[in-house]
Amino acid sequence: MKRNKIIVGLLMVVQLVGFSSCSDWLELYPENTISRKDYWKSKEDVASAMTGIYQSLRSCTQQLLIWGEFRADMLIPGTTILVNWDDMRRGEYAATNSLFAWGTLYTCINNCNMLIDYAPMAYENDNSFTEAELHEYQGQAIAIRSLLYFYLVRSFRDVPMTLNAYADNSQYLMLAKSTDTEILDQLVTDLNQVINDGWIPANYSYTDVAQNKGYITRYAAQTLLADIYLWQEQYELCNQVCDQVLKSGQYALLPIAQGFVETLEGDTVYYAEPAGVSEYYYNMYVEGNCVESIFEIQYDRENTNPFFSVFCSANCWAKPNTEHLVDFFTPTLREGLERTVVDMRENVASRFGSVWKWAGMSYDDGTVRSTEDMDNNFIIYRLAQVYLMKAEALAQMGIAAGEDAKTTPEEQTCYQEAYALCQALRTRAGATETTDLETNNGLINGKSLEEFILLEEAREFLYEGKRWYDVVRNAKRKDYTTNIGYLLNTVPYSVIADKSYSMQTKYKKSPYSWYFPCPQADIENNSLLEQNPFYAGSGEY
Amino acid sequence: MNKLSIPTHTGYSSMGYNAATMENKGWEVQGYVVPFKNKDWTISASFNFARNDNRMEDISEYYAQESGDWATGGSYITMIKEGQPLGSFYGFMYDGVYLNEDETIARDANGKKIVTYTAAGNPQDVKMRFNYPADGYEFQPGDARYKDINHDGNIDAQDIVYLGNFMPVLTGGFGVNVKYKAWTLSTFFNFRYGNDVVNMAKLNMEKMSGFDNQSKAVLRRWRHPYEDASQAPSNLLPRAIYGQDYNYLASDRFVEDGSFIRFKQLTLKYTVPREKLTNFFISDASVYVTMQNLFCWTNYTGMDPEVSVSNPLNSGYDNAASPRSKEYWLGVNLTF
Repeated sequence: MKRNKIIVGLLMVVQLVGFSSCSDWLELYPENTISRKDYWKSKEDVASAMTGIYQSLRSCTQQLLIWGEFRADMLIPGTTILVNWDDMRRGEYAATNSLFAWGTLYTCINNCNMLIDYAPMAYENDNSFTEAELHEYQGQAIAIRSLLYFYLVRSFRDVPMTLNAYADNSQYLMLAKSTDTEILDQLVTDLNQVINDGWIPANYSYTDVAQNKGYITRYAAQTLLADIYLWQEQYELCNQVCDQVLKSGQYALLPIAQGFVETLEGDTVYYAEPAGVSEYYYNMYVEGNCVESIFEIQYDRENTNPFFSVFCSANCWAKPNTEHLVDFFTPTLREGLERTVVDMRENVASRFGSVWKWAGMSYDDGTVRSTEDMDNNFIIYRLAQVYLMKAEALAQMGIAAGEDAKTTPEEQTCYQEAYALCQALRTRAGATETTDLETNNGLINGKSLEEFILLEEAREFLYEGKRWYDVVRNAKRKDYTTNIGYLLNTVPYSVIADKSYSMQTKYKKSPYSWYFPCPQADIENNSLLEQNPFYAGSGEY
Repeated sequence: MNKLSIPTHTGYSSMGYNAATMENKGWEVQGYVVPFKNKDWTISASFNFARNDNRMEDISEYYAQESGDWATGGSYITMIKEGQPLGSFYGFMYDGVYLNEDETIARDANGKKIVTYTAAGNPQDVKMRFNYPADGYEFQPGDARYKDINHDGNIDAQDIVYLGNFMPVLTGGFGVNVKYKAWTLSTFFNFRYGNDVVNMAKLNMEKMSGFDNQSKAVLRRWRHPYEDASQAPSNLLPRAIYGQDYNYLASDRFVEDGSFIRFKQLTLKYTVPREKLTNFFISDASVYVTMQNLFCWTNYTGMDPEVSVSNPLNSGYDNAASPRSKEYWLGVNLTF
């Protein structure tokens, strides 16, 4: 009996110990995850969230490149048939096609929104976190969000736009589309605010060049803004912002060693040396972050880019459309000239039968990259694009001025300035005279210049994910009708022969067909999202 | 509780959430009768019949109420509506094969040709099309012909109709037991009545769009135009086209009545009388033979109409899972 009492006593002690050891058993916060309140505490937390944003941006590049190239005319199917692309090449755009999935972009956008919304919590909590630092992070997040929405607008036209974070399931998740005009206006407002209020710095490091190319700088944000203005057909604003980037003194066209001087009919002719091209290729596309680069999505051997199966594998999806490239790089020279380098832009892009900008590691050696070698960066903006955006804006300003007959001199001033910008790139590349702009005793025709600039854009940014957007931007100008020829001309090269005519008919029928259908899963899950009218099957488009 | 797909503009693709409440209403009758019994003989019978109505209530608005993409081959549309029964599929009405060029010309409700006018003002026939303008494929002779319900010359979402429902009207089972002295013979049958099954196995074996093995039925496929429709065989299949899915779109061609009665079990059992066991330290002994899945009466053409209907939201597809095997059991029961 006594023994029993002792045992009961012992049990009670054990129980007391047991209870006291879980004093926080009424804690309601989840144990296996970090809640928002606990996460956003110090500036280091915000810094690691920023790293997370750039990491999620890396996951977007496959879509960005594919959207920019696969609908256009510069690629043909590689050694393996990618069914989703094959459907596109037959003019079939099903909403279930995973190439149109936009989820990775919205994941990155939501990461940006979280930082923009919650970084102030850390600022309140951490006294060492200055307001300038807070703005630096928020500014970058706003710029990256703007970049991705700009891609979405150019690819889908009207898309859901949210500027606030989705963080828990008490929020209402359905969201209707905003129109392209609304979204672009919002992006312009946002970017002007972060640029004018000095939220984003001009550079991040005095020693590490990768930081100044890999983080979005003020000039990268300005280049993006200029690109948006150009899409909005705000040519004077585009021209002004391009000037700000050009005058920053931070960037220069990557030079190519010139040699082999010849004298022909009294002209002294310089042209690129083969060794110079090899060096140019290495600095721009292998090493990356060169003096010309404004913003690049960074990859290294630990974080490789997603283009191995697209361009490098023995079963690659895509190869250069070499037959069509001839139309851009006519390899004929003025009689009497003998060059070893003829418009190097073709050769750095399409070489050894591959898309060499992505597949190569050296200009001279034909070895294709292996999976672990996929460390080349994705160039979002480089100075050459600022040159051509400014040229395009000037050409349009000239055309507008030319419509008023009295201002012809002003018209020609714009044209000549635009032409000079193109010439800077052509001279560097050793472009052939046959692809040059034809002038009438030095007088330039505005329409010819517009066509010429689009051709220059094609030559300069071959396989850099720009071509489709350049074509659409030029084809949609004014009213989606006047310039539709730019788009229709690409169709025979982007669609299989017996579907070309029907694809052209679709493009002519409705500008909505120039954009992708919204992903089927989102149509099903988001009751407020209406499908792009061309694909909705409702007959209204 | 379900992992719900949510709109991806949120940055996520799914979250845990209660999708809906399901209400099951119905009735079930069970019975057991002993119509005859004397010293040696006992005859008994048992049965149960059930009818179940499944309805969804409080559906989360994040739950996709409609799924399936009718423009993709073999993708049936299913819908969930609050207060409505579950399990219906929707698709096109299959109407044979376009036998010749003339049949592919679009016609209106009165059978008159739909025409367009050329630049010169002359009428010109138009062909039947699929999902114009997003796709706009012109049907060719030999293609599967779907009923143009609204007679607009275009096979699209507006030609989709109700095709069937995988929930049975009645399910149940019954059996008869006959006992004579030490011998017992028992039988059991189960059945489903009034449910439809999508024969995906047939769809995959007859689609003729890739390099997969196909069934012998594809030997009956269309190979040349039949100018005289009466000469065409009645069981003609559409032509083969590589990589295209126009000929196996979700249609009633693959929806079949899944009603069946299955002879589920037959058991013959001999129980050794106790008086014979007293010397063997055994209190009970019996020997039996059981045969399972002996026979199935059905009009269904696939391997097994008894497809799983466990998930009320997405069931009724026969993907040719291994059919129920015939089983034979020989058993001895000893109790010490």
